Amino acid sequence: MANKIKEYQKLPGSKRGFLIGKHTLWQGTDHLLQIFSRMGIEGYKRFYFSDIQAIITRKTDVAKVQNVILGCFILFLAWPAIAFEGGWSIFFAAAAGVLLIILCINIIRGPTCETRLMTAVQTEKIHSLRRLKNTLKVMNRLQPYIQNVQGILTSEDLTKDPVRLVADKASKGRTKPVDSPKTTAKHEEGRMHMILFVLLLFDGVLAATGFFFTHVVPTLLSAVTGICMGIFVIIALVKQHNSDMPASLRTVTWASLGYVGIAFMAGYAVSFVFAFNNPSIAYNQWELFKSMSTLSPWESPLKLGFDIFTICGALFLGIPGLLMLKRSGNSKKKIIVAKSNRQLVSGNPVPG
Amino acid sequence: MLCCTKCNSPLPRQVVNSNSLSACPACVGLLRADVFPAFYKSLPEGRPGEALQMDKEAGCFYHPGKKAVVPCSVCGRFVCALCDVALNGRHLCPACLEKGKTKGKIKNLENHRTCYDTIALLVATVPLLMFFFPWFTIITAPLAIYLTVRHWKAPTSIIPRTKVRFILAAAIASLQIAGWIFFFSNLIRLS
Repeated sequence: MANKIKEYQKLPGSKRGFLIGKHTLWQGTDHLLQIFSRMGIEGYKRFYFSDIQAIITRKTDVAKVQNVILGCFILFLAWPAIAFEGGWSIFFAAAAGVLLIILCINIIRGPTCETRLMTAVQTEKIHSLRRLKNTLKVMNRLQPYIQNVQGILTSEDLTKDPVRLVADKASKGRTKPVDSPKTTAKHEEGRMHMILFVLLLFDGVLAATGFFFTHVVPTLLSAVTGICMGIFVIIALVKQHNSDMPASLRTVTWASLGYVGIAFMAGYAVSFVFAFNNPSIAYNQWELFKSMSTLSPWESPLKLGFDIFTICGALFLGIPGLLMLKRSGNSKKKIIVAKSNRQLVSGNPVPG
Repeated sequence: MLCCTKCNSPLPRQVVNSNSLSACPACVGLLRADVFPAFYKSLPEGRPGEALQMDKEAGCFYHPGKKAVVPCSVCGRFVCALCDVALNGRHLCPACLEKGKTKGKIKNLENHRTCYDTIALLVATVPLLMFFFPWFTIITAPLAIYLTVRHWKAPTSIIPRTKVRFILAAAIASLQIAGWIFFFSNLIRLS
Protein backbone atom coordinates (compact mmCIF):
# COMPACT_ATOMS: atom_id res chain seq x y z
CA MET A 1 0.00 0.00 0.00
CA ALA A 2 1.40 3.38 -0.97
CA ASN A 3 2.38 5.73 1.85
CA LYS A 4 -0.14 8.50 2.42
CA ILE A 5 1.48 11.90 1.85
CA LYS A 6 0.73 14.36 4.62
CA GLU A 7 -1.13 17.43 3.38
CA TYR A 8 0.29 19.65 6.09
CA GLN A 9 3.54 19.47 7.97
CA LYS A 10 3.87 21.03 11.41
CA LEU A 11 6.41 23.83 11.63
CA PRO A 12 8.37 24.34 14.86
CA GLY A 13 6.92 26.67 17.50
CA SER A 14 3.54 27.23 19.10
CA LYS A 15 1.97 29.77 21.37
CA ARG A 16 -0.55 29.07 24.07
CA GLY A 17 -2.94 31.76 25.21
CA PHE A 18 -3.17 32.91 28.83
CA LEU A 19 -5.89 30.38 29.70
CA ILE A 20 -7.23 28.98 26.45
CA GLY A 21 -6.21 28.93 22.80
CA LYS A 22 -3.16 27.78 20.87
CA HIS A 23 -1.47 29.15 17.77
CA THR A 24 0.35 26.75 15.45
CA LEU A 25 1.87 27.04 11.96
CA TRP A 26 1.63 24.37 9.27
CA GLN A 27 3.25 24.06 5.88
CA GLY A 28 1.04 23.00 2.98
CA THR A 29 1.96 22.26 -0.62
CA ASP A 30 1.53 25.84 -1.80
CA HIS A 31 0.72 27.80 1.35
CA LEU A 32 1.32 28.32 5.04
CA LEU A 33 -1.58 27.67 7.38
CA GLN A 34 -1.85 29.46 10.70
CA ILE A 35 -4.27 27.75 13.08
CA PHE A 36 -5.71 29.27 16.20
CA SER A 37 -7.60 26.63 18.13
CA ARG A 38 -9.76 27.62 21.07
CA MET A 39 -12.18 25.34 22.95
CA GLY A 40 -12.71 23.09 19.93
CA ILE A 41 -13.13 25.86 17.39
CA GLU A 42 -10.30 26.35 14.92
CA GLY A 43 -9.64 29.53 12.96
CA TYR A 44 -7.51 29.36 9.82
CA LYS A 45 -5.36 31.89 7.97
CA ARG A 46 -3.62 30.95 4.75
CA PHE A 47 -0.57 32.64 3.26
CA TYR A 48 0.16 31.42 -0.26
CA PHE A 49 3.84 31.16 -1.19
CA SER A 50 3.15 33.21 -4.32
CA ASP A 51 1.75 36.09 -2.22
CA ILE A 52 4.36 36.29 0.52
CA GLN A 53 6.35 39.49 0.06
CA ALA A 54 8.54 39.39 3.14
CA ILE A 55 9.06 37.69 6.49
CA ILE A 56 10.57 39.92 9.15
CA THR A 57 11.66 38.72 12.55
CA ARG A 58 12.93 40.95 15.34
CA LYS A 59 14.70 39.82 18.48
CA THR A 60 12.87 40.89 21.64
CA ASP A 61 13.82 41.06 25.32
CA VAL A 62 10.75 39.19 26.60
CA ALA A 63 12.75 36.08 27.57
CA LYS A 64 15.30 38.19 29.46
CA VAL A 65 12.54 40.00 31.39
CA GLN A 66 10.85 36.66 32.15
CA ASN A 67 14.15 35.25 33.43
CA VAL A 68 14.76 38.26 35.68
CA ILE A 69 11.22 38.08 37.11
CA LEU A 70 11.47 34.33 37.66
CA GLY A 71 14.91 34.76 39.25
CA CYS A 72 13.53 37.36 41.69
CA PHE A 73 10.56 35.12 42.58
CA ILE A 74 12.96 32.22 43.22
CA LEU A 75 15.10 34.37 45.51
CA PHE A 76 12.03 35.65 47.37
CA LEU A 77 10.76 32.10 47.88
CA ALA A 78 14.17 30.59 48.69
CA TRP A 79 14.63 33.09 51.50
CA PRO A 80 11.68 31.88 53.71
CA ALA A 81 12.52 28.29 52.71
CA ILE A 82 15.87 28.72 54.46
CA ALA A 83 14.50 30.91 57.31
CA PHE A 84 11.64 28.56 58.33
CA GLU A 85 11.61 24.98 59.44
CA GLY A 86 9.22 22.11 58.92
CA GLY A 87 6.24 22.07 56.55
CA TRP A 88 6.36 25.69 55.45
CA SER A 89 10.03 25.40 54.55
CA ILE A 90 9.18 22.44 52.30
CA PHE A 91 6.29 24.37 50.77
CA PHE A 92 8.45 27.42 49.89
CA ALA A 93 11.32 25.20 48.69
CA ALA A 94 8.94 23.25 46.44
CA ALA A 95 7.50 26.48 44.99
CA ALA A 96 11.03 27.80 44.37
CA GLY A 97 11.98 24.46 42.79
CA VAL A 98 9.04 24.58 40.37
CA LEU A 99 9.97 28.13 39.35
CA LEU A 100 13.61 27.06 38.94
CA ILE A 101 12.55 24.33 36.51
CA ILE A 102 10.48 26.89 34.55
CA LEU A 103 13.49 29.24 34.52
CA CYS A 104 15.77 26.47 33.20
CA ILE A 105 13.26 25.61 30.44
CA ASN A 106 12.99 29.28 29.52
CA ILE A 107 16.79 29.59 29.30
CA ILE A 108 17.04 26.45 27.14
CA ARG A 109 14.34 27.69 24.77
CA GLY A 110 16.49 30.72 24.01
CA PRO A 111 15.77 34.36 23.14
CA THR A 112 12.33 35.49 22.01
CA CYS A 113 11.35 37.30 18.84
CA GLU A 114 8.40 38.82 17.03
CA THR A 115 7.70 37.64 13.49
CA ARG A 116 5.59 39.37 10.87
CA LEU A 117 4.62 38.11 7.45
CA MET A 118 3.87 40.62 4.70
CA THR A 119 1.64 40.17 1.68
CA ALA A 120 0.33 42.84 -0.70
CA VAL A 121 -2.77 43.39 1.41
CA GLN A 122 -1.74 42.62 5.00
CA THR A 123 1.02 42.39 7.53
CA GLU A 124 0.21 39.53 9.86
CA LYS A 125 1.89 38.65 13.13
CA ILE A 126 2.87 34.97 13.26
CA HIS A 127 2.13 34.17 16.88
CA SER A 128 3.68 30.71 16.94
CA LEU A 129 7.09 32.01 15.84
CA ARG A 130 8.19 33.69 19.05
CA ARG A 131 11.44 31.88 19.79
CA LEU A 132 14.36 33.01 17.67
CA LYS A 133 15.81 29.51 17.36
CA ASN A 134 12.56 28.15 15.88
CA THR A 135 11.90 31.20 13.74
CA LEU A 136 15.30 31.09 12.02
CA LYS A 137 14.79 27.37 11.42
CA VAL A 138 11.37 28.03 9.85
CA MET A 139 12.66 30.95 7.75
CA ASN A 140 15.51 28.84 6.39
CA ARG A 141 13.07 26.03 5.65
CA LEU A 142 10.50 28.22 3.88
CA GLN A 143 12.96 30.25 1.79
CA PRO A 144 13.50 27.59 -0.93
CA TYR A 145 9.76 26.85 -1.18
CA ILE A 146 8.87 30.51 -1.69
CA GLN A 147 11.78 31.02 -4.09
CA ASN A 148 10.66 27.95 -6.00
CA VAL A 149 7.31 29.66 -6.65
CA GLN A 150 8.41 33.28 -7.00
CA GLY A 151 11.99 32.97 -8.21
CA ILE A 152 15.13 34.41 -6.67
CA LEU A 153 15.44 38.10 -5.93
CA THR A 154 18.22 39.69 -7.96
CA SER A 155 20.33 42.69 -6.95
CA GLU A 156 18.56 44.67 -9.71
CA ASP A 157 15.19 43.99 -8.11
CA LEU A 158 16.44 45.46 -4.85
CA THR A 159 16.96 48.83 -6.53
CA LYS A 160 13.35 48.90 -7.81
CA ASP A 161 10.47 50.71 -6.15
CA PRO A 162 8.52 48.20 -4.08
CA VAL A 163 4.88 47.51 -4.88
CA ARG A 164 3.66 48.99 -1.61
CA LEU A 165 5.21 52.36 -2.44
CA VAL A 166 3.79 52.25 -5.96
CA ALA A 167 0.40 51.33 -4.58
CA ASP A 168 0.65 54.15 -2.02
CA LYS A 169 1.48 56.67 -4.74
CA ALA A 170 -1.34 55.39 -6.94
CA SER A 171 -3.88 55.53 -4.12
CA LYS A 172 -3.03 59.16 -3.41
CA GLY A 173 -4.05 60.10 -6.93
CA ARG A 174 -7.32 58.18 -6.81
CA THR A 175 -9.84 57.70 -4.07
CA LYS A 176 -9.22 58.15 -0.40
CA PRO A 177 -8.28 54.79 1.15
CA VAL A 178 -10.84 53.26 3.46
CA ASP A 179 -9.96 53.81 7.10
CA SER A 180 -8.90 50.60 8.78
CA PRO A 181 -10.10 49.87 12.33
CA LYS A 182 -6.61 50.74 13.60
CA THR A 183 -6.69 54.25 12.15
CA THR A 184 -10.14 54.89 13.63
CA ALA A 185 -9.01 53.74 17.09
CA LYS A 186 -9.39 56.46 19.69
CA HIS A 187 -6.34 58.07 21.20
CA GLU A 188 -5.75 57.19 24.86
CA GLU A 189 -3.37 59.17 27.05
CA GLY A 190 -3.29 56.46 29.74
CA ARG A 191 -3.99 58.56 32.84
CA MET A 192 -6.10 55.82 34.41
CA HIS A 193 -3.32 53.33 33.66
CA MET A 194 -0.82 55.63 35.35
CA ILE A 195 -3.00 55.86 38.48
CA LEU A 196 -3.38 52.06 38.47
CA PHE A 197 0.38 51.43 38.21
CA VAL A 198 1.14 54.03 40.91
CA LEU A 199 -1.43 52.32 43.16
CA LEU A 200 0.22 48.97 42.46
CA LEU A 201 3.61 50.38 43.47
CA PHE A 202 2.09 51.93 46.59
CA ASP A 203 0.51 48.58 47.49
CA GLY A 204 3.88 46.84 47.07
CA VAL A 205 5.58 49.43 49.30
CA LEU A 206 2.84 49.07 51.96
CA ALA A 207 3.28 45.29 51.94
CA ALA A 208 7.05 45.76 52.32
CA THR A 209 6.60 48.02 55.38
CA GLY A 210 4.95 45.07 57.15
CA PHE A 211 8.38 43.45 57.45
CA PHE A 212 9.69 46.36 59.56
CA PHE A 213 6.75 47.51 61.66
CA THR A 214 3.15 46.44 62.18
CA HIS A 215 0.33 48.91 62.70
CA VAL A 216 -3.33 49.20 61.81
CA VAL A 217 -2.75 52.25 59.53
CA PRO A 218 -0.69 50.51 56.80
CA THR A 219 -3.18 47.61 56.79
CA LEU A 220 -6.09 50.04 56.47
CA LEU A 221 -4.26 51.91 53.68
CA SER A 222 -3.53 48.61 51.97
CA ALA A 223 -7.22 47.66 52.07
CA VAL A 224 -8.25 51.05 50.61
CA THR A 225 -5.53 50.75 47.93
CA GLY A 226 -6.81 47.30 47.05
CA ILE A 227 -10.34 48.62 46.52
CA CYS A 228 -9.02 51.57 44.47
CA MET A 229 -6.91 49.19 42.35
CA GLY A 230 -10.02 47.12 41.65
CA ILE A 231 -11.91 50.23 40.51
CA PHE A 232 -9.07 51.71 38.44
CA VAL A 233 -8.16 48.45 36.72
CA ILE A 234 -11.74 48.21 35.41
CA ILE A 235 -11.71 51.88 34.29
CA ALA A 236 -8.32 51.33 32.59
CA LEU A 237 -9.63 48.24 30.77
CA VAL A 238 -12.67 50.17 29.55
CA LYS A 239 -10.47 53.09 28.45
CA GLN A 240 -8.01 50.90 26.53
CA HIS A 241 -10.78 49.15 24.58
CA ASN A 242 -10.65 50.24 20.91
CA SER A 243 -7.78 52.62 21.65
CA ASP A 244 -4.31 53.07 20.12
CA MET A 245 -2.62 51.75 23.26
CA PRO A 246 0.31 49.33 22.66
CA ALA A 247 -0.42 45.61 23.03
CA SER A 248 2.22 45.21 25.75
CA LEU A 249 0.54 47.84 27.92
CA ARG A 250 -2.85 46.20 27.38
CA THR A 251 -1.37 42.87 28.47
CA VAL A 252 0.05 44.43 31.65
CA THR A 253 -3.39 45.92 32.43
CA TRP A 254 -5.08 42.54 31.95
CA ALA A 255 -2.35 40.95 34.10
CA SER A 256 -3.08 43.62 36.74
CA LEU A 257 -6.72 42.54 36.73
CA GLY A 258 -5.58 38.95 37.26
CA TYR A 259 -3.24 40.05 40.05
CA VAL A 260 -5.95 42.12 41.80
CA GLY A 261 -8.36 39.17 41.58
CA ILE A 262 -5.84 36.65 42.94
CA ALA A 263 -4.67 39.07 45.67
CA PHE A 264 -8.29 39.60 46.74
CA MET A 265 -8.93 35.85 46.90
CA ALA A 266 -5.62 35.18 48.69
CA GLY A 267 -6.30 37.99 51.20
CA TYR A 268 -9.72 36.53 51.88
CA ALA A 269 -8.19 33.07 52.38
CA VAL A 270 -5.56 34.47 54.80
CA SER A 271 -8.18 36.27 56.88
CA PHE A 272 -10.37 33.16 56.84
CA VAL A 273 -7.50 31.02 58.16
CA PHE A 274 -6.71 33.70 60.77
CA ALA A 275 -10.33 33.77 61.94
CA PHE A 276 -10.37 29.97 62.08
CA ASN A 277 -7.26 30.02 64.30
CA ASN A 278 -8.74 32.75 66.56
CA PRO A 279 -12.39 31.76 67.09
CA SER A 280 -12.79 34.19 70.03
CA ILE A 281 -12.59 37.24 67.75
CA ALA A 282 -13.96 35.64 64.60
CA TYR A 283 -17.31 37.46 64.86
CA ASN A 284 -15.83 40.90 65.63
CA GLN A 285 -14.59 42.27 62.30
CA TRP A 286 -12.72 45.26 63.76
CA GLU A 287 -10.93 43.13 66.38
CA LEU A 288 -10.03 40.63 63.69
CA PHE A 289 -8.69 43.42 61.48
CA LYS A 290 -6.63 44.88 64.34
CA SER A 291 -5.21 41.48 65.26
CA MET A 292 -4.26 40.79 61.67
CA SER A 293 -2.59 44.21 61.46
CA THR A 294 -0.37 43.48 64.44
CA LEU A 295 0.63 40.10 63.02
CA SER A 296 4.16 40.25 61.60
CA PRO A 297 5.02 38.26 58.44
CA TRP A 298 7.85 36.69 60.43
CA GLU A 299 5.30 35.14 62.81
CA SER A 300 3.03 33.62 60.18
CA PRO A 301 4.41 31.83 57.09
CA LEU A 302 1.01 32.21 55.41
CA LYS A 303 1.11 36.01 55.79
CA LEU A 304 4.76 35.95 54.69
CA GLY A 305 3.83 34.10 51.51
CA PHE A 306 0.96 36.52 50.86
CA ASP A 307 3.21 39.55 51.44
CA ILE A 308 5.91 38.15 49.11
CA PHE A 309 3.26 37.59 46.45
CA THR A 310 1.94 41.15 46.92
CA ILE A 311 5.41 42.74 46.74
CA CYS A 312 6.47 40.71 43.67
CA GLY A 313 3.16 41.11 41.84
CA ALA A 314 2.75 44.82 42.58
CA LEU A 315 6.33 45.76 41.72
CA PHE A 316 6.62 43.53 38.64
CA LEU A 317 3.42 44.98 37.22
CA GLY A 318 3.69 48.55 38.47
CA ILE A 319 7.26 49.33 37.36
CA PRO A 320 7.04 47.81 33.82
CA GLY A 321 3.59 49.38 33.43
CA LEU A 322 4.89 52.87 34.18
CA LEU A 323 7.95 52.33 31.94
CA MET A 324 5.77 51.09 29.06
CA LEU A 325 3.42 54.03 29.51
CA LYS A 326 6.36 56.42 29.25
CA ARG A 327 7.81 54.57 26.25
CA SER A 328 4.48 54.48 24.41
CA GLY A 329 4.34 58.28 24.60
CA ASN A 330 7.88 58.49 23.11
CA SER A 331 7.21 55.90 20.38
CA LYS A 332 4.10 57.77 19.19
CA LYS A 333 6.31 60.83 18.68
CA LYS A 334 8.88 58.65 16.81
CA ILE A 335 6.22 57.28 14.45
CA ILE A 336 5.09 60.79 13.57
CA VAL A 337 8.72 61.75 12.80
CA ALA A 338 9.25 58.55 10.71
CA LYS A 339 6.06 59.22 8.74
CA SER A 340 7.10 62.79 7.99
CA ASN A 341 10.57 61.52 6.92
CA ARG A 342 8.99 59.05 4.51
CA GLN A 343 6.77 61.73 3.07
CA LEU A 344 9.87 63.87 2.51
CA VAL A 345 11.63 60.93 0.76
CA SER A 346 8.63 60.36 -1.52
CA GLY A 347 8.66 64.03 -2.45
CA ASN A 348 5.40 65.07 -0.83
CA PRO A 349 5.38 68.03 1.50
CA VAL A 350 4.59 67.35 5.13
CA PRO A 351 1.19 68.77 5.96
CA GLY A 352 1.19 71.41 8.67
CA MET B 1 9.41 50.41 1.63
CA LEU B 2 10.43 47.81 4.20
CA CYS B 3 10.24 49.21 7.72
CA CYS B 4 11.48 48.09 11.12
CA THR B 5 8.64 46.38 13.00
CA LYS B 6 9.61 48.18 16.20
CA CYS B 7 10.43 51.80 15.32
CA ASN B 8 8.78 51.89 11.87
CA SER B 9 11.83 53.52 10.27
CA PRO B 10 12.87 52.42 6.74
CA LEU B 11 15.37 49.54 6.60
CA PRO B 12 18.53 49.90 4.49
CA ARG B 13 19.28 47.39 1.68
CA GLN B 14 22.16 45.83 3.64
CA VAL B 15 19.65 44.45 6.17
CA VAL B 16 17.45 42.83 3.51
CA ASN B 17 18.15 39.15 2.68
CA SER B 18 21.35 39.06 4.71
CA ASN B 19 20.25 35.66 6.15
CA SER B 20 21.42 36.75 9.59
CA LEU B 21 20.37 39.15 12.32
CA SER B 22 21.28 42.76 11.49
CA ALA B 23 20.78 45.89 13.53
CA CYS B 24 18.13 48.45 12.60
CA PRO B 25 19.97 51.76 12.11
CA ALA B 26 17.31 53.70 14.03
CA CYS B 27 16.44 51.57 17.09
CA VAL B 28 19.47 49.18 17.00
CA GLY B 29 17.06 46.26 17.38
CA LEU B 30 18.33 43.01 15.87
CA LEU B 31 16.21 41.73 12.99
CA ARG B 32 16.24 39.52 9.93
CA ALA B 33 14.24 40.46 6.85
CA ASP B 34 13.68 37.89 4.09
CA VAL B 35 12.22 39.68 1.08
CA PHE B 36 10.84 37.86 -1.96
CA PRO B 37 10.20 38.96 -5.58
CA ALA B 38 6.46 39.49 -4.87
CA PHE B 39 7.49 42.59 -2.91
CA TYR B 40 8.61 44.24 -6.15
CA LYS B 41 5.92 42.86 -8.47
CA SER B 42 2.72 44.73 -9.15
CA LEU B 43 -0.58 42.99 -8.49
CA PRO B 44 -2.34 41.50 -11.54
CA GLU B 45 -5.17 43.78 -12.58
CA GLY B 46 -8.72 42.44 -12.84
CA ARG B 47 -9.95 41.93 -16.42
CA PRO B 48 -13.25 43.40 -17.51
CA GLY B 49 -15.56 41.16 -19.53
CA GLU B 50 -15.36 41.74 -23.28
CA ALA B 51 -18.58 42.62 -25.09
CA LEU B 52 -19.99 40.07 -27.59
CA GLN B 53 -18.93 40.83 -31.16
CA MET B 54 -20.89 38.11 -33.02
CA ASP B 55 -24.15 36.33 -32.29
CA LYS B 56 -22.46 32.90 -32.60
CA GLU B 57 -20.12 33.61 -29.67
CA ALA B 58 -21.04 32.17 -26.30
CA GLY B 59 -22.16 34.71 -23.71
CA CYS B 60 -21.60 34.79 -19.96
CA PHE B 61 -24.38 33.14 -17.88
CA TYR B 62 -24.44 36.09 -15.50
CA HIS B 63 -23.72 38.88 -18.01
CA PRO B 64 -25.40 37.85 -21.31
CA GLY B 65 -23.85 40.80 -23.14
CA LYS B 66 -20.29 39.73 -22.28
CA LYS B 67 -18.14 37.16 -24.03
CA ALA B 68 -17.66 33.83 -22.21
CA VAL B 69 -14.02 32.86 -21.73
CA VAL B 70 -14.18 29.68 -19.66
CA PRO B 71 -16.74 27.16 -18.31
CA CYS B 72 -17.11 26.83 -14.53
CA SER B 73 -15.26 23.71 -13.31
CA VAL B 74 -18.16 22.77 -10.99
CA CYS B 75 -21.45 23.63 -12.75
CA GLY B 76 -20.20 24.02 -16.32
CA ARG B 77 -21.82 27.42 -16.85
CA PHE B 78 -20.01 29.74 -19.23
CA VAL B 79 -18.54 32.76 -17.46
CA CYS B 80 -16.89 35.99 -18.67
CA ALA B 81 -13.47 37.23 -17.55
CA LEU B 82 -15.08 39.32 -14.81
CA CYS B 83 -16.97 36.37 -13.28
CA ASP B 84 -14.12 33.87 -13.61
CA VAL B 85 -12.43 33.10 -10.28
CA ALA B 86 -9.26 31.02 -10.56
CA LEU B 87 -8.69 28.90 -7.44
CA ASN B 88 -6.28 25.98 -7.05
CA GLY B 89 -5.99 25.60 -10.84
CA ARG B 90 -9.78 25.51 -11.29
CA HIS B 91 -12.12 28.13 -12.72
CA LEU B 92 -15.22 28.81 -10.66
CA CYS B 93 -18.29 30.97 -11.17
CA PRO B 94 -19.35 33.31 -8.29
CA ALA B 95 -22.34 31.10 -7.33
CA CYS B 96 -20.23 27.93 -7.03
CA LEU B 97 -17.60 29.86 -5.10
CA GLU B 98 -20.21 31.08 -2.63
CA LYS B 99 -21.78 27.62 -2.35
CA GLY B 100 -18.35 26.06 -1.85
CA LYS B 101 -17.58 28.53 0.90
CA THR B 102 -20.86 28.25 2.81
CA LYS B 103 -21.11 24.46 2.52
CA GLY B 104 -17.40 23.95 3.20
CA LYS B 105 -16.89 22.07 -0.06
CA ILE B 106 -13.82 24.12 -1.03
CA LYS B 107 -11.29 23.36 1.67
CA ASN B 108 -9.06 26.34 0.90
CA LEU B 109 -11.89 28.80 1.55
CA GLU B 110 -12.65 27.50 5.02
CA ASN B 111 -11.60 29.99 7.67
CA HIS B 112 -12.95 28.17 10.71
CA ARG B 113 -14.12 24.74 11.73
CA THR B 114 -15.80 23.29 14.81
CA CYS B 115 -13.94 20.24 16.10
CA TYR B 116 -16.59 18.22 17.92
CA ASP B 117 -14.04 15.61 19.03
CA THR B 118 -12.19 18.25 21.09
CA ILE B 119 -15.47 19.65 22.45
CA ALA B 120 -16.63 16.14 23.47
CA LEU B 121 -13.33 15.51 25.25
CA LEU B 122 -13.51 18.89 27.02
CA VAL B 123 -17.10 18.24 28.10
CA ALA B 124 -16.05 14.85 29.47
CA THR B 125 -12.90 15.97 31.29
CA VAL B 126 -13.28 19.60 32.46
CA PRO B 127 -15.97 18.86 35.14
CA LEU B 128 -13.60 16.26 36.61
CA LEU B 129 -10.95 18.94 37.08
CA MET B 130 -13.37 21.18 38.96
CA PHE B 131 -12.88 19.79 42.44
CA PHE B 132 -16.06 21.30 43.92
CA PHE B 133 -18.36 20.58 40.98
CA PRO B 134 -18.20 16.84 40.16
CA TRP B 135 -22.02 16.92 40.18
CA PHE B 136 -21.86 18.52 36.73
CA THR B 137 -20.85 15.13 35.33
CA ILE B 138 -24.45 13.95 35.74
CA ILE B 139 -25.26 16.28 32.80
CA THR B 140 -21.92 16.44 31.00
CA ALA B 141 -21.32 12.68 30.74
CA PRO B 142 -24.48 11.98 28.66
CA LEU B 143 -23.75 15.17 26.69
CA ALA B 144 -20.24 13.91 25.83
CA ILE B 145 -21.71 10.57 24.69
CA TYR B 146 -24.32 12.42 22.58
CA LEU B 147 -21.63 14.61 20.96
CA THR B 148 -19.52 11.55 20.18
CA VAL B 149 -22.39 9.62 18.56
CA ARG B 150 -23.94 12.62 16.79
CA HIS B 151 -20.71 13.97 15.29
CA TRP B 152 -18.72 10.75 14.82
CA LYS B 153 -18.66 11.20 11.07
CA ALA B 154 -18.41 15.01 11.06
CA PRO B 155 -15.12 16.44 9.77
CA THR B 156 -12.74 17.30 12.61
CA SER B 157 -9.67 19.50 12.24
CA ILE B 158 -8.33 20.54 8.84
CA ILE B 159 -5.17 18.70 9.87
CA PRO B 160 -6.11 15.03 9.49
CA ARG B 161 -6.22 13.21 12.81
CA THR B 162 -7.55 10.03 14.35
CA LYS B 163 -10.78 9.52 16.31
CA VAL B 164 -8.84 9.10 19.55
CA ARG B 165 -10.46 12.18 21.14
CA PHE B 166 -13.94 10.83 20.47
CA ILE B 167 -12.95 7.40 21.84
CA LEU B 168 -11.42 8.93 24.99
CA ALA B 169 -14.44 11.19 25.52
CA ALA B 170 -16.81 8.25 25.17
CA ALA B 171 -14.71 6.08 27.52
CA ILE B 172 -14.44 8.77 30.24
CA ALA B 173 -18.14 9.65 29.95
CA SER B 174 -19.12 5.95 30.13
CA LEU B 175 -17.07 5.55 33.31
CA GLN B 176 -18.80 8.60 34.80
CA ILE B 177 -22.23 7.21 33.91
CA ALA B 178 -21.27 3.83 35.39
CA GLY B 179 -20.19 5.64 38.55
CA TRP B 180 -23.52 7.44 38.80
CA ILE B 181 -25.47 4.22 38.24
CA PHE B 182 -23.45 2.56 41.01
CA PHE B 183 -24.02 5.59 43.30
CA PHE B 184 -27.78 5.70 42.74
CA SER B 185 -28.22 1.93 42.99
CA ASN B 186 -26.43 1.98 46.35
CA LEU B 187 -28.57 4.92 47.46
CA ILE B 188 -31.78 3.07 46.57
CA ARG B 189 -30.57 -0.08 48.28
CA LEU B 190 -29.72 1.82 51.47
CA SER B 191 -33.04 3.65 51.55
